[in-house]
Amino acid sequence: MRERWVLIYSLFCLAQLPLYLMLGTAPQGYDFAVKRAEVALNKAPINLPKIEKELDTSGTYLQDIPGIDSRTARWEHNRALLFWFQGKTAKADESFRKSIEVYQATHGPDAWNTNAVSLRYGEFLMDGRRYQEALQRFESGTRAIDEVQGPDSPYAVRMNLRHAMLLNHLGRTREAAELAKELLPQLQAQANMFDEPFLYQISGTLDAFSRKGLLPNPTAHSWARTLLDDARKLRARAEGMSRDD
Amino acid sequence: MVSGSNNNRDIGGDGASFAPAAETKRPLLRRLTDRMSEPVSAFVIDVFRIAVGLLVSVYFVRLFLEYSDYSSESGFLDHTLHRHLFWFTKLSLIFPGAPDFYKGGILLLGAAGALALTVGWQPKLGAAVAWIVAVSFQRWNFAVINVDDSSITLLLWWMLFLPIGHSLTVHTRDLKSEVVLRVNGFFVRAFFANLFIYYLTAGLSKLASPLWREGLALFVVLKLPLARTSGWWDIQDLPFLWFGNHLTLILEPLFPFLIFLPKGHPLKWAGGFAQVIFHLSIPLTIGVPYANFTLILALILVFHRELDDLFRKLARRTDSIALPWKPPSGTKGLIAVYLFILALTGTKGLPVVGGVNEPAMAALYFGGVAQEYHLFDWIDRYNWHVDHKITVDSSGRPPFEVDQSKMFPASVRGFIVQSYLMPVRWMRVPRPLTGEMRNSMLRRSAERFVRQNRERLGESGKVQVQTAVGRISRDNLNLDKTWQVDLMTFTYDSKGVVEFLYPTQPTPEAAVTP
Repeated sequence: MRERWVLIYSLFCLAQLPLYLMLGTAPQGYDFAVKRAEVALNKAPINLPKIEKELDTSGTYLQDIPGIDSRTARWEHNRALLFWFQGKTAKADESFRKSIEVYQATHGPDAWNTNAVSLRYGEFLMDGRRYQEALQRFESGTRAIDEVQGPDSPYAVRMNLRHAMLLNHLGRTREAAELAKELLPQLQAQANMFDEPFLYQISGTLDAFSRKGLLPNPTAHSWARTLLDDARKLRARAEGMSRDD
Repeated sequence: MVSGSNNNRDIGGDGASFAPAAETKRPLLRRLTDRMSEPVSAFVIDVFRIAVGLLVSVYFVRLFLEYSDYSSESGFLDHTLHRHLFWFTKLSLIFPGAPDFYKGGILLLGAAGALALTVGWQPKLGAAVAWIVAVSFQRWNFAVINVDDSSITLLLWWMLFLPIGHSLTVHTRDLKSEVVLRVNGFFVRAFFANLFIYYLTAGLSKLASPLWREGLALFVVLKLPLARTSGWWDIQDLPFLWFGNHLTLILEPLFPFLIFLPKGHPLKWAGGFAQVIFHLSIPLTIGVPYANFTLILALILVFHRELDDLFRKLARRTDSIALPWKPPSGTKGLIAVYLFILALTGTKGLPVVGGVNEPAMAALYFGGVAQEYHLFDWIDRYNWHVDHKITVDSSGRPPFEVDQSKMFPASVRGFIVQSYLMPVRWMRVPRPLTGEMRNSMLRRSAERFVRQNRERLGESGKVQVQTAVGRISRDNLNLDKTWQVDLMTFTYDSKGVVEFLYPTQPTPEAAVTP
């Protein structure tokens, strides 16, 4: 018997494989496919057929997962982004709403994910010039973001600046400028954490505030130049540090 | 080339003579296994066995003490959700809905196994039973397990292979004659290989962490709520802790090299002493005692030749009796495969080979010996500091504050529980199920708090938990930058029913129904 323990143990280990395969195929398959879709969504140039294929795959796995959980919301959110990129705004709108609905049902209305998708939906609405609806999203969504990641975190700063841009669009210029003024030190201190298109977008709003005297003038000839310079300096400093390490 | 004169070397054995010409003719693998199989003192191995048995027994006592917080159905963990999130933990002796007497009985069985191991009554069987029970509870409580738990699994796993039970058992009586027993030392030296991987992974992986490289990691770790000394340290202690930080970086990867030093070498004694101090200081200041005592106990085997000499001297015996025990067939191969896979688990984050880390971890998990030696290299991600202010507004009394340890235990597991409330998670919860996990932890923390503080809280009232959150980093060592979070607000009634006011909890129909 003593000589057979290794064989028995090895068989026991191998016998688990079908069980783990049975239990893990759907959740792991979903997870891998949806992650691949998310990577592709954030990568330029955007590969829409690949994203569509990955979301179809993850959707198939999702059907095999028993019960309803927030994985459906994540899937719908990614579909909303895909439709947005494809220009199918009605479908995107529907998917955003479904995603928020499932998040509200599974995480609750105050949860991070519910509010993060709601803010993304707000950005979508802004893009479609549905400013009033977008404002509702921004007014209710930023608290959870500030609480979870901290009000100085790049994501919170980005969303609060979007809020300021939105207020400006709605003609609430003074309020918008005050919010932007509050956020400006955090934006400049971590300018390297933001992508260039966003820096250009926010710079347009900041320049308008400066021209109206609601914000100090930028150190360079425009806010875009100032922020890009800040980002470059911060990146150089970070690289210098890592070289010293 | 090995000669008979270098009998002080561990790998060279204890006075065994080698014929160089014959040695070169044998294949390398054969020579290696022969060298590893050279006899060691059976008595020393059994001293190690007793020490391990005692440590495992204490571990089971701890599992009993923590039962209501983690293993029971009413603790911090929603085990139904837990099995949904961590689907691979389903293979266990424990199942949802299992009554407390069943789980308690299984725990008792594990403790009995540890006791059998200690006293030497069917020690292998005892180790196997304790191992299966420990693994089952670790799977059941997977979300909160840490290196303490995996170290106990490690010890029990090695007990299954090491030649234990030849001395110091309930059946043996004559200590003087047991001291001279010698047994095949293959698994002792294979255990050294495990220690080697342990220390090298733990030591070298820290070099990838900016906080460790900058000399700040020890300061940050000691300030975290998981540390016993959280709150003791200030910025003026930084030079001292900077020194400790770098000493750790230097010493930890060097510790495993002790096994190569000759018997009684001054460096070996100094290294052993440093190792004891190092591993004692961690449980005293931070926690994780089982992992550290595991490594202190391992010194019994590292110093097996010195201890053998000591015991022989005390027994006044110079002779030796070789026992006919040899490793059961297949065990050497199994251990070789285990050590190879274990080495692969240390590749996390490395270029090219880094991808094999997770499959290797999964393979070890299948075998019931899940190990992870990336210790405290996670400090750059888990440097979150939380400080809760719990205010109770009990009906008919003025509002009063309750210490945060009443809600979250001041322990490593307590810190892990809180990690699920922050944007960091101790175990990788599949996204976005982190939200379900967070809500479940909030709800259960509140219910446990009300249940355990009935007298203090009174009949009914409202509890508000406000948290100052911050990350201890190079720019925020003194935690000057924190932000306030309304973690939760709930009401409770005389029956202990908790109702959340913030964050709004989803309706029960939306809960997971696996």
